[in-house]
Amino acid sequence: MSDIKALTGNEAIAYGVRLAKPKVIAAYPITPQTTIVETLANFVADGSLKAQFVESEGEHGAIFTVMSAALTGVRVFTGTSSQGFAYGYEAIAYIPGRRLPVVMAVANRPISSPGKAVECDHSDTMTGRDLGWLQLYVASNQEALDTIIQAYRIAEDQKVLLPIMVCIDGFYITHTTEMVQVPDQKSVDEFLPVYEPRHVVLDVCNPMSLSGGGTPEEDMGYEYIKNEALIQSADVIKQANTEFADKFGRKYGNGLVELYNCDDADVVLVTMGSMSGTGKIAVTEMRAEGKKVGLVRVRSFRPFPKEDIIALAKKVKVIAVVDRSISRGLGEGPCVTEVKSTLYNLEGEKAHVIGFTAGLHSVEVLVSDFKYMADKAFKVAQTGKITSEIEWIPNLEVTTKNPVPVQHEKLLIPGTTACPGCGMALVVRTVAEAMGKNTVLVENIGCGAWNAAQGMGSMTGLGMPSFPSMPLPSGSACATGISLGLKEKGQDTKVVLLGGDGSLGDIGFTALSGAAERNSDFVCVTEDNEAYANTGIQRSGATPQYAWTTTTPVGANKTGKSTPRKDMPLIMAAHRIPYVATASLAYPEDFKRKLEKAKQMHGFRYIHVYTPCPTSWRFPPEKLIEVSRLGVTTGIFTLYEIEDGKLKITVRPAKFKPVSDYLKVQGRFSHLTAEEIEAIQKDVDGAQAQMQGWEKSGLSLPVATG
Amino acid sequence: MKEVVFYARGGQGAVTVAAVLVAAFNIEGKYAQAFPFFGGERRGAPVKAFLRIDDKPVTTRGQIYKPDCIVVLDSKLPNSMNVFDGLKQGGIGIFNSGLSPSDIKLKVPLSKVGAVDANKIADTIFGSMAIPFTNFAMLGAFAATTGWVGLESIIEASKSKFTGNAAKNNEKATRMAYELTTVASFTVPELEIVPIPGPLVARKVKMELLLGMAVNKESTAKTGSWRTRTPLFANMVPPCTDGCPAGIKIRDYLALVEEGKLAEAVQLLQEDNPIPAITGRVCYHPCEGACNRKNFDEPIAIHSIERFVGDHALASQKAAIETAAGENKIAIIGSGPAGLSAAYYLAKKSYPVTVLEALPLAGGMLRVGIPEYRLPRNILDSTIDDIKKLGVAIKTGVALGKDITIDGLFEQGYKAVFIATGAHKAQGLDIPGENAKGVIKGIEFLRDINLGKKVKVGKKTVVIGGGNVAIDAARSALRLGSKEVSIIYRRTREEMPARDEEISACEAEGIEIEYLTAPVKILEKDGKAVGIECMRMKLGKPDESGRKSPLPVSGSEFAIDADMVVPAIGQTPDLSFIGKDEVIKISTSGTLVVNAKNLSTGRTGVYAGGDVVNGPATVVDAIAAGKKAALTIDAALKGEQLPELAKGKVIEYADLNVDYFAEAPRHVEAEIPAGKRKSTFREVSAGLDEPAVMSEVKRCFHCGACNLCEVCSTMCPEGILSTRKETGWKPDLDQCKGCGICANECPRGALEMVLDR
Repeated sequence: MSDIKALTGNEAIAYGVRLAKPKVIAAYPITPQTTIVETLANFVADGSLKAQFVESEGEHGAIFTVMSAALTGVRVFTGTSSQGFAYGYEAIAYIPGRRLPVVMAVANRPISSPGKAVECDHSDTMTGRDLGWLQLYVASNQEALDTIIQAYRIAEDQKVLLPIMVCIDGFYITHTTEMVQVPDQKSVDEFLPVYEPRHVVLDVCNPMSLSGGGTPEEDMGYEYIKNEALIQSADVIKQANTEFADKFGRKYGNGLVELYNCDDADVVLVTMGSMSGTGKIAVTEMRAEGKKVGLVRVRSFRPFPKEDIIALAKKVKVIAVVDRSISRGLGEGPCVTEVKSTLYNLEGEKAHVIGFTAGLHSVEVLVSDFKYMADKAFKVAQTGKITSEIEWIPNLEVTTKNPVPVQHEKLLIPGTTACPGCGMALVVRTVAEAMGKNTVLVENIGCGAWNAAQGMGSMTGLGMPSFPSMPLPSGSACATGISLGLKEKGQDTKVVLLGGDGSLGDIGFTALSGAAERNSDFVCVTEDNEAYANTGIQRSGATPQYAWTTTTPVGANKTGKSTPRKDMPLIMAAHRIPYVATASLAYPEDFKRKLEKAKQMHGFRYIHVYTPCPTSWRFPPEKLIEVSRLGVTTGIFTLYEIEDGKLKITVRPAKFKPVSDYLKVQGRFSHLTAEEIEAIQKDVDGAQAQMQGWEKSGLSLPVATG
Repeated sequence: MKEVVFYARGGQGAVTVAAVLVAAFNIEGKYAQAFPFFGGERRGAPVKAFLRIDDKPVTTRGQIYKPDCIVVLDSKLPNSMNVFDGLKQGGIGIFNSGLSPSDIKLKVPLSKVGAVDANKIADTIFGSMAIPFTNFAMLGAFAATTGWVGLESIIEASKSKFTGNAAKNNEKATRMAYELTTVASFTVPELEIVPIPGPLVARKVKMELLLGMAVNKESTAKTGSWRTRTPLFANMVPPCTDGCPAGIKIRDYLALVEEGKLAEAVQLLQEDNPIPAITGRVCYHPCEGACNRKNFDEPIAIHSIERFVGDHALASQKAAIETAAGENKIAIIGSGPAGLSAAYYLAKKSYPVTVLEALPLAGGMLRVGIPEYRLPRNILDSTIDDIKKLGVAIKTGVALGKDITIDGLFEQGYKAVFIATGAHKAQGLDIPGENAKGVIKGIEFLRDINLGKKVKVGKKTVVIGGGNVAIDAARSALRLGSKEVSIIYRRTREEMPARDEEISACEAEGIEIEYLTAPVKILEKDGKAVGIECMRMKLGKPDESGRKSPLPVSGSEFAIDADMVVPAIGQTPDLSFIGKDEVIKISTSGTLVVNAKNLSTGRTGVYAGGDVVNGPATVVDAIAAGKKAALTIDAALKGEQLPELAKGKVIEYADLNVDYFAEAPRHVEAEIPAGKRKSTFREVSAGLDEPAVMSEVKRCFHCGACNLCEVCSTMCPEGILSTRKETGWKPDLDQCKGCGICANECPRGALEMVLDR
């Protein structure tokens, strides 16, 4: 019995994944994919999905994790989007060569963009179109769920053995709620049998090394069969689509393309993804006006449905391809390029091809836009002449100018996108005011650097030069480059890197550690809110044990995060950098003094600010400082500085309060039992004794020699 | 297809509402799609969600630009976003509003308007108007207004998304709102839609961009629109002021002392207390008992600071006025604290005031009740002199009922009379031997001493009673040379009405107090007192005064030796001046009856206050009565009403953020050692010197006041609070997101968050 539910596209994906029963799931949150991971985390927590769920430190790790799990012959799942796709590219590129049936959902969002581009277009997955992955673009929530189930069936087919991207348009599908038929498990099990790999796996009974490659000729041979398999996978997709339709009553064209009103059409629009539904409405309305227009939705971009395109080109007069991405420098979208190249050598009468670049960065493609594009195609059909091969929708008239010098009165300009009661905003303001105007701020993307310092409506929230280092792992590298550039220009300008526990401590840790080890000349301020708050509260390496987050939910099988937080300031101290300090929002004098001190020094200076987040930690915004203070007065956080490896505690509460005072005001700990609170108290008592003992001993942090 | 736009705030769950409707429409066989506007979903920030409903599958995706219906989930939103944007003429509007639908301002003519006070419903069910709770009520309003979907379908749909208590409350809210929604229908002429012919033109967008990607424009967003509550610097009352019967603005004059502005401190203090040098010495300072600092370490030594400021006031030069310039003469009967206070405030308002005093010296109980070692005569004299300098005439030796009458005063042209004759008549013991030689009533004993009469004391003095008069009498007897002085009291120390510090001082001086002891009769020999027969008592159930009542223990009689017995068991007003036909009423407890609001008696123009109304009470109560009388008389003569003053919230200890304070010991006044002082009437307590006072005022928490400490402006995330001296505390409300950190962190509880409605 299938069940009908109101689900978002992301939830539909997660329901599909649960039905496919993967054994290992690894992912890193990134908007707009995040709720896929969150929903799966909940399924694992409530026991409805029995799988290993890995809360990875970044996409590079997440995708390599599922690839490697697949090497052992288990079914796996991952998902990503945009910059995460870019960061995971090394792994993404690696998988097809290993011939592993990995299924990955990609929530389509612009890549290498100006701004943060929390928007929709296909420019992320299009950069991966030639890697050897199958790419299926879906047009509805229902199709998202169904395609996930089909994807395993296709990928695991012996004729294919290649990874599949299930591409869903960011927001237009990921965040839209529709009624979705959720098939019953038995039918899905029948359609998608238990995965029994017959390809090479890591196996002690069959001890093969899966590393390295062959001779150049052999390597080229592998490329050959990979390409062949991908081309031939078209039949497998079609077959899966047909069998799925037999079993579940739903089909998506022939699996590769879906045709709408194409039979007698003079003109067809070619679309991919979510805009197709809007295109269909335009077609329906134009048909009512007697215009012979149809719509072809390309579902499978890889393998590319050459045969279907050729068949179409023989029937219609004009094919108008609408691309939601662009191949820069060529000046047109990838789909129109593929259509043209498919038809180039076709002999006899064939359709004209024109292209439209539309919907980049979520600019909406309206019914009227489709009508305009169809009319353009009709004009070509009538005249037989193409006046413009490619057109941008909407038509853009852009002039450029050089920036005009600006002056700002305030260093943090109110009207930011920070939530009410945002601790990050307070950190940004305190840092900006302590460092002064002769400072460049590098903001590693995240809540603190972005929302707290960004004005609403794409305006600045900072009265000093700033660079938002968008890609999460890049902050420390960007700060290094900027400080060196300024040095070469002979400017004595301070550089401050602001980042979160996620961007610096997890995904950007490699760059952070590298900069510290090289003693790069900047002040690094970590705004530690113990979660990935910007993507909606997923766990980070700094999330404390037991804490609830959306990826460490509380359920029958889970009670928040299972491991303790990593101690970033001590890790940084082990780099033997000139200055390490911790700070709290509740002790602004102490924080400012540490910033002033760091400002006077050179080399890599690290300040770790415990920054509670009302939204993530589930406490009322007015309690921001109160919670910060309780963090210190209960001994959870110790405020100290480390110079020459020696520790000095700078704030000493007269008497420590019980940790329960700190825990009970936060909703993320509301599930804790008395025993768990007792355990935390013990940990804190022990840690305090160790800290104080270390300080008293006057000993330096033990470090490696050499 | 029908298209709906929901207007809400980030964190409110507009998407959830739309998603529930998707399921609800599905139950009824319709197709629907919900879709959030993405990017600005910060808590409190205005956001939108979209809903499409159709009889066939909804395939179009994207935002809704021309809705058929709008649902405004937050009552304040129409002020901060254009909710009517694109709404079709003749469409439907559904509002979370306490207004009736016809009173809602529409920017587009609508065919239907539905309104329900969802906040009120959320408040009723959840006890909170927090924004997420209003949603399910608005679902009920949606069903009631549009009629597009049934109530039961919505209930069923929300149950598929929520379980447990949440589901129950959601259902309640939805049903309640469905019933309470008022819908108004209007006839709106249908717009004729004219199809636009001609060649199809592409959408065009023009822009000018910077070379290189940069944002140069400062944010101009007014994020104040996110706010659902506003910080307010309210009229907060510190507990000291609340605890003071005279309502002295203690916190604020202490702040002036701290700033070194003594003259201003005097002025502010004397707005409510004209005789601070006296009260600084003799007041039982309930302000200190109320002081929030007592829960932290020790209360502020307010009385010591008051004494310091009061002495400063006495020491400063003042010009004397012969007679006040005003026309309406006022007579005040009695020159005690109530009379002096009334005289002071009336004189300040330029009334010619004459104070008539029955005794040969002015001051009332201050003069004849309080011994010199507690209140030096020079302080009392200077205080009275200062009041005289305001143009007040004090005539001593003039007794009401004997030398003058109320009628006579009015005949002399006085426009108002304030009776403040106090409670000087001693209560009798009502036991045998009371009239023996050597028995002298406490208040009479003190009066004789203070009027300079030669008073002989016995060798062994026993004082009967537990009030301040008893203590003062005992300590005075000791100072006059009585070898042995003791007090007998029928209850225990706990019930003793005398001030604790007085009792301690008394004990330190070697005066023994026999508790649970009551006199049965005075033993006489040759008409002279030689002792007291006493009985032991035990405590029973509380009496009307709330104190445990003493019960005699039978057979416990015993005798004590005494050649002087001083009964001091209470005083009553002497009301012999009230004539038989007088309209001024006397209560059963022997006090004058007045209207408590304005102290008026039954006779027009005659007012009364202080002990003559209350029975024996305190100096500060008398001062308060005097001021009230002055204000009442002033208002009455001007034909005005006394304004009713609204009392602000009193700051309790829990309202403070004591994390910002450090412990600091209270400064204690130096005293003459007990051994030395018991033979002299010199003032026992030395007061605090200037450095000690300056240090003591720094201990004040400034409960409920802003002293520009900058905690809030330091902690405000976006730095939109100003605590500059020129402007005082000032938020930039255009930008304030209403997080409440300032109010929560304020060390002094001076701010509160007020819900915006």
